[in-house]
Amino acid sequence: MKSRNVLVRASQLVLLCILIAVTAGATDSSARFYKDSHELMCGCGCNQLLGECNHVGCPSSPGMLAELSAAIARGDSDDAILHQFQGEYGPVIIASPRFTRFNHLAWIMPPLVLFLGIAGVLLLVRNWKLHTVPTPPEPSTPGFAATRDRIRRETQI
Amino acid sequence: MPEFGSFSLLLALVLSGYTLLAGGVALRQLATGSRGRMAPDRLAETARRAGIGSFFAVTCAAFALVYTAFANDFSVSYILHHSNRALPGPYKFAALWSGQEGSLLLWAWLLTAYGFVLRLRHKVDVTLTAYASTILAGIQIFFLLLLNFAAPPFALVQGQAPADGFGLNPLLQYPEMVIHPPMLYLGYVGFSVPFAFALGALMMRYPGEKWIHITRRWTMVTWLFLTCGIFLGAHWAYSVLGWGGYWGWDPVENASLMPWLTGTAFLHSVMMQEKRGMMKNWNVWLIFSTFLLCILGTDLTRSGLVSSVHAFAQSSIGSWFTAFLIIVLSICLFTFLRQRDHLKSEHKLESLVSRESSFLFNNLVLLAACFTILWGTLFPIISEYVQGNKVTVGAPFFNRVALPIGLFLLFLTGIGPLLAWRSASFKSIRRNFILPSAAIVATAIVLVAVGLRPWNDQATFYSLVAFSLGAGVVTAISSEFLRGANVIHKHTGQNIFASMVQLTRRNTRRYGGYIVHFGVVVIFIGIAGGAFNQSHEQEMNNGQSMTIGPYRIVCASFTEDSNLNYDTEFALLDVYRGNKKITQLAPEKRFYAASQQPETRVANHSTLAWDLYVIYAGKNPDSGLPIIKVFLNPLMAWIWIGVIVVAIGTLVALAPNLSAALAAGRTRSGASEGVKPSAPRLVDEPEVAIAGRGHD
Repeated sequence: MKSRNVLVRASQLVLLCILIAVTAGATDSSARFYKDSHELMCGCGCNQLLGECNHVGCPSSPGMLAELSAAIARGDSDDAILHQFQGEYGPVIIASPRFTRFNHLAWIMPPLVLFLGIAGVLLLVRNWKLHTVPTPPEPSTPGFAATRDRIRRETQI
Repeated sequence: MPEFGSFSLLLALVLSGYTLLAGGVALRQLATGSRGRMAPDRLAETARRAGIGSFFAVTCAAFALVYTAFANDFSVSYILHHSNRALPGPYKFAALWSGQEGSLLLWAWLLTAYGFVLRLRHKVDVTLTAYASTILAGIQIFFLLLLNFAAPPFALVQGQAPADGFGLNPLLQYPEMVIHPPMLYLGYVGFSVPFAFALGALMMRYPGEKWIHITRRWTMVTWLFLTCGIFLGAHWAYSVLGWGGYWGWDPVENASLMPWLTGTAFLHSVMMQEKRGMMKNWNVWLIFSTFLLCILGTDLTRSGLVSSVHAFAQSSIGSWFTAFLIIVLSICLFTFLRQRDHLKSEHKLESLVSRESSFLFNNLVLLAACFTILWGTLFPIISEYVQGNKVTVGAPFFNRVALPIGLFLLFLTGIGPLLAWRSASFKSIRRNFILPSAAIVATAIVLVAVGLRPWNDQATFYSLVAFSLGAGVVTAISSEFLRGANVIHKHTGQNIFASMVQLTRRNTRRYGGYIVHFGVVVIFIGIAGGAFNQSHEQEMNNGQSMTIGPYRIVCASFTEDSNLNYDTEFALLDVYRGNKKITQLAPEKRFYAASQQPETRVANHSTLAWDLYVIYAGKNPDSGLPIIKVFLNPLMAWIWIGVIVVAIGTLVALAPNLSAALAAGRTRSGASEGVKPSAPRLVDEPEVAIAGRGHD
């Protein structure tokens, strides 16, 4: 019982570490500029991320980058910045679906499918195991056990 | 020449039609025992020959198009739009696949070429090959219908032909573009063959697993082509598009990755069918899905349903692909429902901790990755349908969702081969896993100790996981090699390296597979390096410098040049490390005369540690000075090295085993002479006998 509690505590600790590592983000403005410019698309229709648009004389990206820079300097939150760009350029300007209503589905479906698949496999194996008739042991062959032991010994590093 | 090309395509269509019709009738007669005016075997033979003829007809058409490009015949609309007089020879050749009609012709040519080889080698299994040949003929007909009626490559321009063409898309004027599309197409089209065999085997209720043995090499070669094609495309994007990356999760890129994922799943799960007679339904649907995804990917990108940076791929033939997709899916479903009792498993999974279950989980994760990519690619369309507005599903989505799945896959790459078939005992798990686990933990500790801070950001966290898992997988693979090589070393006295070679030659499929896994680890290490990319942008006058990482870049000069094909602006940059000049880079910006389009030529100094990737971003119109953007991309070269390792591993896995080669040699030299095998017998071999089911 005690070891089980320790195991539960340890897994909680690992989960917490993972959560911190995944959610913790850099907060300085250059890092925020990089992050936000990679959350937005360029408005010129080139289908590239704003932070990666490399067109000479692009009609959109310099203005958008300046706008982003100004918003960060003003101290706007990431959410507010994305909201402001969405209002100005439409929803397609955000590089990935935001966590709103139907868009949740975009994020939920892939892990859901994976977990359902894993659950399905576990159920399938359990079902198979319950219905499997144990196979009788193979008839013993002279020297079989000795050969197997020799193989084990020789293949041991 | 255009008339010759058009006629060849029409002839190919007629011959393919005959192959389908006569082949279908002959197979029907064979199945029902009925007889027509001609014996079914003779009728099937005429169908086979017509199929071979279709290859020659399409070859003539492809030759006609290339000839037209080299002859600068701009009366042909396709050549007018994809070539010009000043275009260098190799790119004139590449014009064959640089546009819609030409790429369809290349597809048809490769399809008939695969069919040609299949039909020549029909004696492997005459009836099964006849089924596969007939199914391939059906696919040929679809592409030839497109080429004859929807996207004819030999259509003529209206009125007087212009004196010069509009030129090839500048992005395609790069050496890799001469080999990337054919490689990719060899992959896409190649999956038609295992698909045709699988469908044929199901239609005729083919006994046993021989169809898998017949198609194993086809599938592996096809998979290798697709792998090389995908990474050549990534390398091209890295070298030409000039944004510092190599994979943008564009729908066209996704379209190539989806069949690769299901194809990889098939290559793994098919072993369960071979060894244990399991997963028959699953395997049939995996190969069906792989082929259908090839078509779906083409449909998505050519129909314009989803927007892509590969805008040149869009056209109006999407509806043809949709119709074809529905027909193929219906045939697959109908055949499966009719014959599904033929696909009963001979064994069942006995333990969750076994090689079989690791294959199952590997398949699950590969399919989850495929679903994620398909879902992300289609979500904008679904969103528009449901919400009334389109959303963008770009790189941030895929990086967040697909990366963890990829890392899980890397984890399975390591543990799968360590598990025994049927059931692994706790003792063997402990014995096999202790070293890899120690390597994972030790790597993580060392990396944190040397300054990696996974809690700083998500990318660093993922890269730490990738490095640690990579170390674990490499340890697992190495210990497998060492364990086997040690046995040979003890028995033959060969050094350990020679023993490893011997070991690999004795079971090429197993150890070739390990080499492929090692290559995958190397690719992941290269990708993980992306977390530490640095970039810097600066205007540079002569003599000015900038510093990035250990490099100091000094602008030696900047100038302009021009030739018949393009004008160019470039900078000459001296690269120093410390006080030592190590190289000179010349990033450039070209402006193509015929197409009136600009193109970036990146200059890259690549080492095993990092790439110094320099872009000439253009001139500042106010100062007239060049703007130089520099990226320092760590471990980038490992991605390309990893692909080479994967290719080598696949080639090793394709090679016959030493014992098989010796047996063949013995057969040839005459078993009656009583020749004894020269290679020593391995104690590893009785283990195979004990397990009763090989080693993969």
